[in-house]
Amino acid sequence: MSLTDLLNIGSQGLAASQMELNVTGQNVTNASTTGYSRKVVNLQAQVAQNATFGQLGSGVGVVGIQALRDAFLNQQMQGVSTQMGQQQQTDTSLQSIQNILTEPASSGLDSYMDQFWSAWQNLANAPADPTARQAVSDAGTALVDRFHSIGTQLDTMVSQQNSQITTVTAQVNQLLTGIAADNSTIAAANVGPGGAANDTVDDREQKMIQLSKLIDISYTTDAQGRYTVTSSGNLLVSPTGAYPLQVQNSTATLPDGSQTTQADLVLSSTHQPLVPQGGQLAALIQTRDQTIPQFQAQIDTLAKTLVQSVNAQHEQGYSLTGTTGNDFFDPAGTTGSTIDLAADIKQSVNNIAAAAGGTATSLGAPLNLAIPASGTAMDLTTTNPNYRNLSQGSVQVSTVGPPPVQLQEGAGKDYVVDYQSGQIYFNNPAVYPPGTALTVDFSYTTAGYNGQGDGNNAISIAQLAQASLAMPDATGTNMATLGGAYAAMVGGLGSAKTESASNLATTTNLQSYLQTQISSVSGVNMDEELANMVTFQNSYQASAKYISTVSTLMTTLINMT
Amino acid sequence: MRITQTMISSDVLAGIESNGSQLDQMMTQLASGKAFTQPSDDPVGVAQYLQLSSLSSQYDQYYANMQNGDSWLNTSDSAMQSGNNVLQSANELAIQGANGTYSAVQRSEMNTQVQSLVDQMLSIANTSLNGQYVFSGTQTNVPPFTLAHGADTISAAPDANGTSLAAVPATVQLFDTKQAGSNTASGNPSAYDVVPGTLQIAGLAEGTDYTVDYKNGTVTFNTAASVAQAAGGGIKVQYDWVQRSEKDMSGSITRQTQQGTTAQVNITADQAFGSKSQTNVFDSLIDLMQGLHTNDQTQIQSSMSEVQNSLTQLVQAQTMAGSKENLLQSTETQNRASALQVTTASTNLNSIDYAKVATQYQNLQTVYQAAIQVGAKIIQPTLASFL
Repeated sequence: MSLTDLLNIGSQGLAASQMELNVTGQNVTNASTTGYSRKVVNLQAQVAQNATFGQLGSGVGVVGIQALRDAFLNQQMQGVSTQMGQQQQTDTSLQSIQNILTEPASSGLDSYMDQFWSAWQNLANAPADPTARQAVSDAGTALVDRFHSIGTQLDTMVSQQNSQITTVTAQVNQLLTGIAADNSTIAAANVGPGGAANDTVDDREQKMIQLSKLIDISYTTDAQGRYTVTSSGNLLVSPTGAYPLQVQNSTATLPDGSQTTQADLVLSSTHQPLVPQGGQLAALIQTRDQTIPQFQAQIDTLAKTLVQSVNAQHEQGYSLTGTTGNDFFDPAGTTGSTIDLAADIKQSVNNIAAAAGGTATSLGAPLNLAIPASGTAMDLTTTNPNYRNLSQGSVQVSTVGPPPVQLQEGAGKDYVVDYQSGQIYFNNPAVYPPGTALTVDFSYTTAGYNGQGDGNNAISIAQLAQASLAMPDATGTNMATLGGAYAAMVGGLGSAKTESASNLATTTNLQSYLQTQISSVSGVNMDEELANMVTFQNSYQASAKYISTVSTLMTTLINMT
Repeated sequence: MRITQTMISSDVLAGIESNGSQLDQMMTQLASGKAFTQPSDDPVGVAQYLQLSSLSSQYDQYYANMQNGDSWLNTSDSAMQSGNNVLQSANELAIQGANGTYSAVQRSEMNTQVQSLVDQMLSIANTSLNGQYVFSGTQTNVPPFTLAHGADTISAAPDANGTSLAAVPATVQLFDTKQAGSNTASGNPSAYDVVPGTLQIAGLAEGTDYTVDYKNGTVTFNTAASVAQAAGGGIKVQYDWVQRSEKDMSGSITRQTQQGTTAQVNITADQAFGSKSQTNVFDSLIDLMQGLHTNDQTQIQSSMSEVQNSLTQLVQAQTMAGSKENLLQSTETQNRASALQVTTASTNLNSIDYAKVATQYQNLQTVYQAAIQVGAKIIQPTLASFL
């Protein structure tokens, strides 16, 4: 044991204190760094030799720098992050769909439907009024536009999901490469003596949490501390490198017939498709493939039922010009994106069939006909198929003249009439032989257009608002009105959104609880560090004092000689 | 448990944020006065609310329909009331005319009065609302009756009925040659309800040379003078007649008054003024005029009962209109009560209790401010401040 040994002990004390102050400095400055785990310096007393009276120490040594973290908590955090990522994305998507429907508000589809039915009632109140007709057409156009707007926005949302999938995949790949790089750094550090790559491990943990938010992952650690990361059994990072994901774009057809680019994930290593089971990617794919199509289908069904039921009733009625069998909506457009007014209606509002019709009696233009061969009847319907259902007593037959002579009607007289079928039988061939030229006057009744004041078909169409047309039960009987079916759909959307929001709230609470736990283990407590700093400062000063004392001893010894 | 600065600040922040989002939600409620602004605020409530607002708009629409129907009935009703007055005046004139003390000149004056009554009756029967004839059934663009100006030329040759003026007396049906499109062999409508006093035949005198059945539109020629005139270029006849539209005017104008219920709101010309086949109101007036015109007390007497029959028919139609109006009004009252219920239910569903929400808002704000102030104090100190 020499004085030099004593100096050694002192200098080791200084080095240890310096090291401790160094770590404290690192801890204090990284107090707010995300993912940073606080470090402590592990010291050990140095044993020099065994003396006869026991072990004699030879100072202090730094064994290593240890990062304080709990691997189990970190793993839990990854699981929660996966849920978080998925639920956040689902919640955002449902919110977007809610925004697209904008219910309950005057700009919602429900309100446009109400206005559409009201327009028909107003038309029934003034069937000849061009303004009321225009109002029906306008309300129809507004309703159609609202359908289109919902359809287009849902389509846009689908393509947004696709582009987001591409963006998120790029993030995933960046993280995978980062983790692989960290793996090799950590392995290299673990090989050397006492060199744990603490900060790289922190960094990799952080990347794992970010990654797990995007896609569901699990991992294993090998002897050199390297992670093998998989997602649903598919290898993403091996100890030696990253296997990034690829986005494969294919063309998909939207309900309105337009084409869109659909992004699907494949593994770059095996070119096998990858379907994420959790995280933001899973939510994006689910929104694109299930949630949006589901609402789109409901909107489409609504549009289809509306088009078909209104058209069926509209075809029964008569337009202002007396035509019948016209459609109000284009029968080809049976989805939310393709619903449209019929070309006739767009061309002229006079084609709106407000009238239900009735029986109309009209005068037949006098017909110049000849008496047919004996035994056959003079058939007025050959001249015009409408010349049937003749009015009783309206048929007057006379010769052409001059002077015209009126024939006598009745059994045993000149002719008899079958009023229903529009046929006249001549039975006096002695006076009026076949071939005699005749003038026939008559009036006939047709079921048909009965004047512009008739608004009964408009009422029938307006009454479709209260007809059960949607949501068939098990036996196929429709249980709900169109408005009711739509309200149910909106209610369903609201429930889904409420559920997703409450799931998200639960997960957020869980996440913040875990964060607290992690922080409790790995976080930097400023007071603790400062107190340590004072301690380390004191031990440094003490070591210095010790060296100065040993120095004095040496001086004393030197002066003595 | 170790507590770190990060934990404290993130906890404080989480607390403040959660308060903030609750405040935001309450602010939205207070500002809009609505309990929900999107389906997720209250899924069941929103679905109900949508249904109720549709129902509310339906009730309002039914009410508008009934108001519109009311105006049809009111217009018809007041027109019929005027018609009633016209027929009563005609009846009084008929009673006067049947009285033997009046002279031919006085009857002629009465005739002029009845003629103005015919004109009034025409405009009454052709009453329109917003350009739509109210008594025309669904043929609202066609007036039920029109005053046509007829013109015929009667020649000596046999006419469509085989009647020849060569042998007098000969009765000729007037065909209005000014109008085309008829079911008669001549292609012109046979004229009827000719207005007495408007029929002019140049060169011939009514009563001696010819007599007229105004209601049926036939002229009977009695003298050689008329035969001569017919042979020499034809007898030119000019007259006014009341033409009843050939269209089917029995169509009903209806308004939806409740779910699944419609009400007819029109009175047809047939109901109010008589159909073409029965004696209509103009037949009665023309008969009366004929009596006054020809100074025929028996004719006046018989026309008097026709006028009274027309009046009875009109009163019946008025009663019908009245009961329709009553029904509409009671349905309107019912409608307003139901509409009020629906509106109240809908308002209750989507309105906030201001007092309650405002109080909650106050409490929450206090908590929020406390959280901010306390948070600011907790986060600040570390040992560094005291070293």
